[in-house]
Amino acid sequence: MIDASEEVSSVRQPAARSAVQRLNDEIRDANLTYLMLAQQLIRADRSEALYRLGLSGEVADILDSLTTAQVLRVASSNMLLARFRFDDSMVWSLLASPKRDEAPSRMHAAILMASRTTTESV
Amino acid sequence: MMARSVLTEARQIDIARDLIELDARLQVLEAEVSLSRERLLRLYREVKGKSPPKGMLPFSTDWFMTWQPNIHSSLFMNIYQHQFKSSDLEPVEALIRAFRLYREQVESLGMPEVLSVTRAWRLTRFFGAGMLGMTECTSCRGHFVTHSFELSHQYVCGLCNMPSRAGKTRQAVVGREPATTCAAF
Repeated sequence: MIDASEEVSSVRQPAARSAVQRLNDEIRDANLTYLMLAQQLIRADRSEALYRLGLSGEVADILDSLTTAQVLRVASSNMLLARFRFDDSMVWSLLASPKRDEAPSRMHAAILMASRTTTESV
Repeated sequence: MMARSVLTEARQIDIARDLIELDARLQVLEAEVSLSRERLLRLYREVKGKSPPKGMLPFSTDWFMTWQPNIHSSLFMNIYQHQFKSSDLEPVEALIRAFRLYREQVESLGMPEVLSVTRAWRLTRFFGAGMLGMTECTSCRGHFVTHSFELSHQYVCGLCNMPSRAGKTRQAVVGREPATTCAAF
């Protein structure tokens, strides 16, 4: 990716840079929103937060202990901190595919997500 | 020896109130909280503005095996086990939290609330007694409530292998409107 853009970069460097900058800003905002939401949930009700967020107790304790300055520092990264919790196609297809009667497949997805949460994060 | 601590009693009243607000039956309160029957009755009337319903609790494990109750019970039990294992909560606190999360999930799906908190409590008791357990579906890998002594190596859940008239009861059809969703208890 980098070598392809390198030849062009001398010509349109300012524009290219601001696009990357914008992307990093958006990632930082997403990180910040996630971290603040996670802290809020953990502080309101830890055990419920572990379920909703799908985090282990240790990670929850780390997030809980971060100061605002640390949250800002951690959020400023070019990598997204949160990632998808459910990596099997079953859950995604149940959530995404339209069905004649949607209730059972949405319930099925809810059970699968709860099952995964129970087995993984404890 | 000193009489029992006021703080412990306050805690017990909190738990009892949470359970009453979730429509738990009096028998559940008596089993989980060490307050006298008279105080529980008074508390019940204060919270609900009426006397608690009378009658026996359901005692069969078979109810949890029928199609619609089974998926609701399975959702609840997955949440409950997570709540129970992830923090050092008392079983009754895990029950209260898990039931609230179950209710929220079912409401957000627009489904009737099939499992009552009394049934949910019964379910946790059946698990404790080893009469019911969780089995992984061989098709979707979700965890579902089953009888403990059932042959389970080929288990396929009721959602992967849906019976033709699944959920098509009169109650389910009427239950599309939230007002009529509450089962008998």
